[in-house]
Amino acid sequence: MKTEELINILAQSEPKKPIMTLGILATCLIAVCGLLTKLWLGLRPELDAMTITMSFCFKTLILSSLVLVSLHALKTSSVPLGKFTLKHFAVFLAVFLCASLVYEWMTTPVAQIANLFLLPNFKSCLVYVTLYGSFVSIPIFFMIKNSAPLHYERTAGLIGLSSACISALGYSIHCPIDSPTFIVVAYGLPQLTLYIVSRLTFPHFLRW
Amino acid sequence: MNNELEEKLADLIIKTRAGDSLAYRQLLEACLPMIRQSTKFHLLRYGQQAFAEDLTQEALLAIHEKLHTYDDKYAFIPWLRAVIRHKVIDFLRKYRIKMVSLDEENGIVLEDASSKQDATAALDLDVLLKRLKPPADDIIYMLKVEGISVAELARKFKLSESNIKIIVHRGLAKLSRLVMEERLQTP
Repeated sequence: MKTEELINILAQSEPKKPIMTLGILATCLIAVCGLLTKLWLGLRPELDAMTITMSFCFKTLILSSLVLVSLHALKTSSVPLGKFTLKHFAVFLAVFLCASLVYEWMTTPVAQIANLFLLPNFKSCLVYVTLYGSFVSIPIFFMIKNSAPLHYERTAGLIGLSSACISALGYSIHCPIDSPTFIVVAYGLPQLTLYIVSRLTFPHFLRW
Repeated sequence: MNNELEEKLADLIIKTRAGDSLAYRQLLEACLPMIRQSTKFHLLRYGQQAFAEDLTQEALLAIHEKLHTYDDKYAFIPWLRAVIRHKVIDFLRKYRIKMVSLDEENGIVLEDASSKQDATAALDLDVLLKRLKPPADDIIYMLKVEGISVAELARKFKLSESNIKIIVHRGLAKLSRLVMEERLQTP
C-alpha cells in the first residue's frame, strides 16, 4: 500500500482516544478496593464508630500521597517525553516519612514496634495488599497499553507500584495499625513485590 | 521555519481534536516529509534504508493510535521525533539489527570511494576518512579501496580479525552518518 493511500484511510476516521483518564480509573479502583474491604473485612473500629483519629489521617495522607506520586510517575512514563513534575513533593514525602520513622523510634520502645509485626494484621496486610494490587494492575495495564510508553521496564514496574499503592489505600480502612514503621514495612513489601513482578512480566506486552 | 511549522501543526492538532477530519489529513500530510526524512536518516546508519517507507507507514499508524498521548502544553515536533525514533528502535530490535552490514554499507560508502569522480564531486573520501580515529581510517581504506583482506590487515596491524571487523563496522557507520549529514545540509 502506498503511504498516500494510508493517509487517505487514516483521515477517514478520528485518531484514537482513551475511554477514560488514568485519574478517573484510579479513583474508581480505590473506591472498589475500599468497598470490597468494607464488605469483606469490615472497617477499622474507629471508622466503624464514625470517629477519625489523627493517626488514621496520617496513614491516609501518606498512602494517598504515594498513590498520587506513583500515578503521576506512571502517567509521565507512559507517554513520549512526559515530564515528572512532582519531584519536590516526592522528596518532601520521603523526608516527612523518614522524620516520622525517626520520631517513632525515639519515642516508642523497640519491643513495642516489633510486637506489631507479630499481630495477624501484618500477614493480612501483606496478603490483601498484594492480592488487591494484582487485580488492580490488570485494568491499569490495559489503560497503559493504549498509551505510548518509551521505557517498557520502567513503565511496567510503575504499573505494579501504583496498583499496590491504590490497593494499600483501599485496604487501609480495615487495618487499625498506624505506626510509620508498620506502614513502611507492611505496605512497602507488597509494593516492592508488585513493582518487581510487574517489571519482569509486563514489558513484553506493553510494546506498541 | 521550525516555529512556523510548529504553530501550523499545533493549530491542526487543535482542529483534529475538535473532530475536523480535513485538519487531520493536513496534519498527517504535514508530518509525512519529516517522518520520511527521519526514518531514512536513522535507517541509513544501519544500511537498512530499503525499509524506510514501511517504517514511515508504521510511524503514521502510531500517530493515529497514540496522538492522544501528546500533551499540547509542549511542542509537537519533539513528540513526533520521539515516536519515530521509538519505531526505528523497535524495528531494529525486531529484526535484531545491531550493526551495519558490510555489504549494505558498501553501497553507501564505496559508491563514493570506488569512483574518484563521484568522490570529488560529492564528498572527498580522504577528508572523510581523516575524521575517523586512527587506525580506522587506514584499515577502511586498505580493506575497501586497496582490497586487502581482513586476515592480512589483522597481521599488519597486530589485531585480531574480529577487532578489524569491529573497527570497520564502526568506522563505516560513522562515515555513513557523516555522508548523510553532509547530504542533508546540502540544499
